[in-house]
Amino acid sequence: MQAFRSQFLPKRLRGLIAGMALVAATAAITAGCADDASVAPTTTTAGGSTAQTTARPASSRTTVYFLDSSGERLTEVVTSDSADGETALAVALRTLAAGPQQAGLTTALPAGTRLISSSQDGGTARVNFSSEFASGYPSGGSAAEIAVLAPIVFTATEVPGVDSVLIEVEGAPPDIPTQFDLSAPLARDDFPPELVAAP
Amino acid sequence: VRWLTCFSALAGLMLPTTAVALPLVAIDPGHGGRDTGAVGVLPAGTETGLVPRSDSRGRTVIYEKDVTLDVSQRLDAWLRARGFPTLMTRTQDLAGGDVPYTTVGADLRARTNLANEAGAELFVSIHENSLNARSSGTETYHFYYASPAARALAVLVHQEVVFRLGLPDRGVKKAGFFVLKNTVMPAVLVEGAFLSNPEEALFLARPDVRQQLAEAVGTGVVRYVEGGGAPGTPAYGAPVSPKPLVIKYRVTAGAFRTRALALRRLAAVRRTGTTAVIRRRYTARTKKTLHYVVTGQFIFLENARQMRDALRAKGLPAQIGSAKPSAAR
Repeated sequence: MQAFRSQFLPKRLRGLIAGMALVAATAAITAGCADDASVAPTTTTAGGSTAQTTARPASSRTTVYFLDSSGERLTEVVTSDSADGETALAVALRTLAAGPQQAGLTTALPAGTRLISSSQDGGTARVNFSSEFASGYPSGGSAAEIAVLAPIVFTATEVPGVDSVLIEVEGAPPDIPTQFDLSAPLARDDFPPELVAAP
Repeated sequence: VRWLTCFSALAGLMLPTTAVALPLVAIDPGHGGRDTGAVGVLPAGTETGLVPRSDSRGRTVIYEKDVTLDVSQRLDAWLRARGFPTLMTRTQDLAGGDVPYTTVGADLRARTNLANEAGAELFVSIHENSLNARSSGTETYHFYYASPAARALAVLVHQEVVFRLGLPDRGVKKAGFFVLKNTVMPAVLVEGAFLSNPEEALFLARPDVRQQLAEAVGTGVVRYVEGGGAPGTPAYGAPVSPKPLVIKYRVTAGAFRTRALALRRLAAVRRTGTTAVIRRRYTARTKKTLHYVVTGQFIFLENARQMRDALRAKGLPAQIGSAKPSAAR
């Protein structure tokens, strides 16, 4: 019983910190700094509670997950490019949205999808896509949905400190025909582990 | 002799319904209403036995929502014929709970609420898959924190569907789909075949194939209820009472004054691999509203005790309570 209760303490503190970060981030967004994707309006302006959101060195390595040619397995791609003041999260998602540069890799991200903004509240990355994400989202099929969502979640959670991803479209929770619960953040757990298993 | 062999083979699938209490099975036909689900393209004029559908380019197509409803209705009839009480989360081309489609959140929540509140003991969500024209086969999902019971149900249903349809075996997988996450009973989601694959779309366009799919899922359910040979599978052996079966018992892992407190307990319960939901209830006697973390609802006390003891063995507080609202009526 004692052991059971003690599990809660760190979680409770974490929740409090996340809550404070959320309030701060909301304030930052309402202050109007969420307009330009390339500027990456992240919680860097929202105080130091999330250390990972500070801008990276000018050039470093980014891990992005694309799909293999079958569209059924995730393939890890490590790129190195200039960050230009962007957060690691923004760089990774922008690279993902741009699509694979390597032969044999594919993307299932709906055509024309742009990353509008990204931010980080505690361990949750908030990813805001353009309306093309919703209009091009597959109408059904677990495999089709996983092919769209898993690369986003695996790419974002590759960023240190990020363990879940809340997906938004034009700044609001998306109303798309999904079998997932997109009102809550998605984690790697939400996807079958076979996605990254050795072929 | 052949007749006899056939008969005994068939009898093996039929439970002695007079002696065994069968679980309430919730059948969930995926999608519906404005949500068509996946769309398959068929050769022009293909007879499907379903509502004829065509796309904006005039091609003959088949909607996942029509296939899932048809398969579910066949499964419903098949299970009822074997004495199972069943619950359909929709019975028409509408969203969950047979209401007009509004949002995906409302649709999915209506489905899980229906099953949870009716005290369904098994939940089977019927879907068809989609990816590209080469994708092929059957896959079955359970929740990533699924109980051994849910895993057993997934394996048995999957084996039967793969065996009957004869399509490639894509395996039993785990995922965080809404209906798997938010139901309190063992739940599985079956993806029979790929509508994005023209051959498999044409396959699903056949009523006899949909009947086979329904019977395969039903056979998996029967095997599960019979014990299935899988360890940890609960046995439904309690004798049937002459009264109608009603949910009487509810296992809770705590009651809290605020939802926030209940949510914290909910998270702890889920971390142990147990599915649970929060239910609010007003008690007239104490004039208080409490938020209960409910892990299961049962017809038979014995099954409720089993769950209570399993939870206590994991170090969680668990109690059996009445499943009926304690207020009058």
